[in-house]
Formats: sequence, C-alpha cells, structure tokens
Amino acid sequence: MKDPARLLEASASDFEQQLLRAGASEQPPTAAMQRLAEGLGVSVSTPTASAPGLRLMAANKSTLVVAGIAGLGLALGTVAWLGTQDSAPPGPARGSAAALPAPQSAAENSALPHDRVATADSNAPDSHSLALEVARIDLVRGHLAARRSKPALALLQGYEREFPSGVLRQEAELLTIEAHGQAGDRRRARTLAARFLARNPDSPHNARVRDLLDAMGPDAR
Amino acid sequence: MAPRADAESTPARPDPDRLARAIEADYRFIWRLLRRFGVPEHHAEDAAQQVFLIVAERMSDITPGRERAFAFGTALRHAQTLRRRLGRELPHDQQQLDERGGTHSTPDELVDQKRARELLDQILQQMPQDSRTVFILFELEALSSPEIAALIEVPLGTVASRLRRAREQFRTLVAEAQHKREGR
Repeated sequence: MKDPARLLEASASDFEQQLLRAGASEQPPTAAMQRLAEGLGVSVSTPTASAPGLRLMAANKSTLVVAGIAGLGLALGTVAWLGTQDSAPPGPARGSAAALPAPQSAAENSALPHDRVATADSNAPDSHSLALEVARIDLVRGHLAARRSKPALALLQGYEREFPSGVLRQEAELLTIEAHGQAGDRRRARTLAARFLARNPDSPHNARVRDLLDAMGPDAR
Repeated sequence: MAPRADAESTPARPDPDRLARAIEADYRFIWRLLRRFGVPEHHAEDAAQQVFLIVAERMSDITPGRERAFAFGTALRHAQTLRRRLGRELPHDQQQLDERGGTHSTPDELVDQKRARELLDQILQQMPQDSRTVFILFELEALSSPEIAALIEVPLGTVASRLRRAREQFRTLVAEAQHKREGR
C-alpha cells in the first residue's frame, strides 16, 4: 500500500500548510538533550538531523514560494540553526550509565495506550505521577551513591520544577542537602539543612539531616 | 518513603550505549510529540526528561528495537497526566478556539510561528485521540504508514482509515477557524 502524499508536500491550502509548517518545524532547545544525557549519566553526540517537517518543506519548493516572506524567514532561520548544529563539536565517548534502581511501581512498568489510562481526581497524585516522582528520586539516589553530585543536582532542580507539591518533596530536599554536601558546597548544604529542620520539626528525615550535618564536619551545625 | 532493603536497592544498570542511542534517536521526536499532545512549551523539556527516565528505568525490559514505541506510549500517558495536573483547559469548541487562537490576524497575517503553532495545537486538541495521533505521526513527523502501524500496534488498514478521517477533521476545523477569522 502506497502512502498518500503528505499535506505539506502537496494538497493542503496555504493556510493549512502554514499551520502544519509551524508545528513540523518546532524543535527542542539545542542543549535540552545534552542536559538529559548528563542527568542520566550518559554521553550523546549532537545529531544534525532537522525536524521532519523541514525536510518536507525543502522537498516542496513551491510551498516556500507560496509562503512568501514568512517561509523565507523560516528557511533562513533553519539554515542558521542547521549551521549551528553542524558546527557543534562531536560528543565525547560514551560514559558509564547512571546507577539505576530497579523499577518501583507496576503502574510504571508499561506504556499503556491513552484510552487505558484511568481518569483520577486532578488534585490527587495519580499512580503515574507518583511513579515518575519515585523514578526521579531513585535516579538521584543512584547518582549520590556513586558520588555524582552534579547530575544529582540537575535532576533535583528538575524535580522542583516538575513536582512543586510532590509527595516526595521532603525526600528531595534531603537529597539536595546531601548533594550540595558532596559537591563541597557546605555552606549551601548547612543553610538548606537548617531551613529543613526549622520547617519540619517532626519530619522522619530529621535524623538523617543531622547525620549529614555531622558528616560535613564540626562547624556544620 | 520507607527505606528499602539492601537487596531491593541494588541498582540495575541499563546498557549506557543503548540508552544513549535511544536518546539520540528519539529525544527530539518525543519532545515534539509532547508539544503536539498539548504539553506547554515551558514544560516540554521536563516532560521529555521524565519519559526518558522511565525508558532508562525499564530499559532491561524493553525489547531491543522497541525503544521508540515504549517512549511513545510513555509520552502519550505523561502528556495526559501533565495536562490534567496543570489544569490546562483545552478548547473543545469553536468559541474557545476563537478566544484562545490569536483572533487578531487574518490567515495572511499568520506569519508569527508561535501563533500559528498555538492555533494548530488547538485544532489538534479538538480531534479525537486516535485520529490526532496518526495525523501527527504522518503529517508532522513524516513517518510512513507501516512505521505508524508498528508504533501504535494497529493494522495498516486502520492507520489508513484513521488518517483519512483525521484529514477530513483537520480540514473542517481549519476551514472553520479560517472562516471565523475572515468574517471579522
């Protein structure tokens, strides 16, 4: 069975093509993939592949003509972007992977189709969100166990953005203190530890926080 | 969280080369999918990171060659979870589309990529999930029908029928949006 021509290549109206081009040409920030790789403790090379929509547009020269100034601007932007990609230095040799724990949640263990996802109270952390929190926190633990404070801190910063009211927030704060201690930033670790103890006088993590302070030296408390 | 026993906390190490290859091959694809599935731009990087955290966690259980399919399924679920958590109101009718869709321009003036992208996403969100998925994979990601069939695990004929339906829906929704704009 032969595929029909894509709308971007042939039969779409100008307006349709304009919308499709806008979607097909979108790209993540150039450093995003590197940040992910760093967080996971692996090295990746920067690919030079462009968005598929840009390839479709390049294959259809008439589209660019019809698109006029907007299309020209996009094409020029693309050339500039590709130039940036091409000039990027090749990535380093692959490093060792992060020490990852075993999976924690059955809910996390399969990528279920959309229509099989349960609809839950939007205010309650569903099993998927919780599993994502657990996965991230476990990765942080793996990094800290291997004394890789930098990727651990990168993941913890992502946790703060992603789960501002996360179930494992105290755990994340504890690990942040530990990561700063490992990184040699004892002042920051002490400040965060003091704040944690003040805010959470009854936390079950307090003993661990005090242990971390003790481990940082006599001037840490 | 209760501390785990030592035996349980022994970390499983994914193959770093395999994980790196999966990231290199599919990161941009997954990021773009998350965006088209309605994840706001400023959340897309974190969402993509979450998807690949799961890929890393489950790597030893993923059949070699199925990494993209696994990441794809995870991205679909995560996009839905994230949108629900963010309380993101997605447009369900033309009224909302008008209110959110950059109503200050005619089609000829839609030179702003961001605005065009917002309108595209609003139109996509009005399409049924099955049609939308096939439409995005074929029209925006330029996957072939056999690739799509393998990715979403449906027969080739189903891909063809969903694509046909999706194109009709897309054209109808775009025409409605265009008509509204030109009528102003």
